[in-house]
Amino acid sequence: MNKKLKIAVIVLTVLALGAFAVWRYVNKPSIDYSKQKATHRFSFAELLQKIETDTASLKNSLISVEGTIKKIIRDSSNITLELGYDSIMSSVTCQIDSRHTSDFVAAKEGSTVEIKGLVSDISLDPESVFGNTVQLTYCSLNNK
Amino acid sequence: MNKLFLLALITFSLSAQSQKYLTKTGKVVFTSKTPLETIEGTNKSVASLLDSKSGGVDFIIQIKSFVFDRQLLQEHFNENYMESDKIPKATFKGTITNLGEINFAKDGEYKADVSGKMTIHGITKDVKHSGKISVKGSTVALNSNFSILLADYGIIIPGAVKDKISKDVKVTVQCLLEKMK
Repeated sequence: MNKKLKIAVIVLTVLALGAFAVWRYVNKPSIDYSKQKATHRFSFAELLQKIETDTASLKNSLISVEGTIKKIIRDSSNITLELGYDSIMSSVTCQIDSRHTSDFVAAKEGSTVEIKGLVSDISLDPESVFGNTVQLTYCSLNNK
Repeated sequence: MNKLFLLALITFSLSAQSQKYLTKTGKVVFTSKTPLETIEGTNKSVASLLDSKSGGVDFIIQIKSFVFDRQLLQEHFNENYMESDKIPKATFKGTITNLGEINFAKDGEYKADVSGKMTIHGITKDVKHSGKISVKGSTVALNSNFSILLADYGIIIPGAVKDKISKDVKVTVQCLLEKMK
């Protein structure tokens, strides 16, 4: 193999590897948080108490919360849970990660679950009809 | 006895008229479609309130609760386009303008015309949209599809990705509201 051909092969290989790395970076799937450990663990009541005095330490963090399922929304392959009680407006909404919906097939309103999810928002408005709300995304069952 | 009956009737009619419906698990999907790429973000933690007496409709959408199948899309959506740390929510506050055509006491599907103020990325616009209201027992389903022009809300698409992100995105709203107890 002459020198020019060797250089051409090396350049093409480097370009192909570079293109593959860029493609992988751009198409990297969203993080599967089920494989990570929650930084905070609460019961539903503890979480509602915590957000009254501290929201900063929870935002964008991975937490687990144990609570009663107030409502289940099943939408094609997606599941959203609301943890709470009919008697209060404050609640925790959990958008279940589509990779883990199979873990919630048997979930029923009124049953207790421990959910792990990323805190995407905390709304503090106890005077409004919505009450206080913690929103979790990329949720999965917390297997501890 | 007559006074008691009258009081009961007034109480019943007042409560029937001022009925509110609410959800905190509504769904909003936005879709950007170009020949090169389709991008979809879904938020299933949308708060919505409907007052069947006044026709008032409110939506509150937390931007960080949109989820994507790819990590990079989520980062760019929050950091570069929606600036969600600085402007965390989008809202709609409006009124059903054809309220008289909707019977919340009778199951059925009704066309709803809504006008109001939509605030996205900190910019508020007067908007009018049509949708469908489905009444079933104590629940009301709100469904609507419309498009928004990103430039109207000051969302700038960098030149490097302008072929991959549509100038106008399709928005789908699906909310199932329950009568407040």
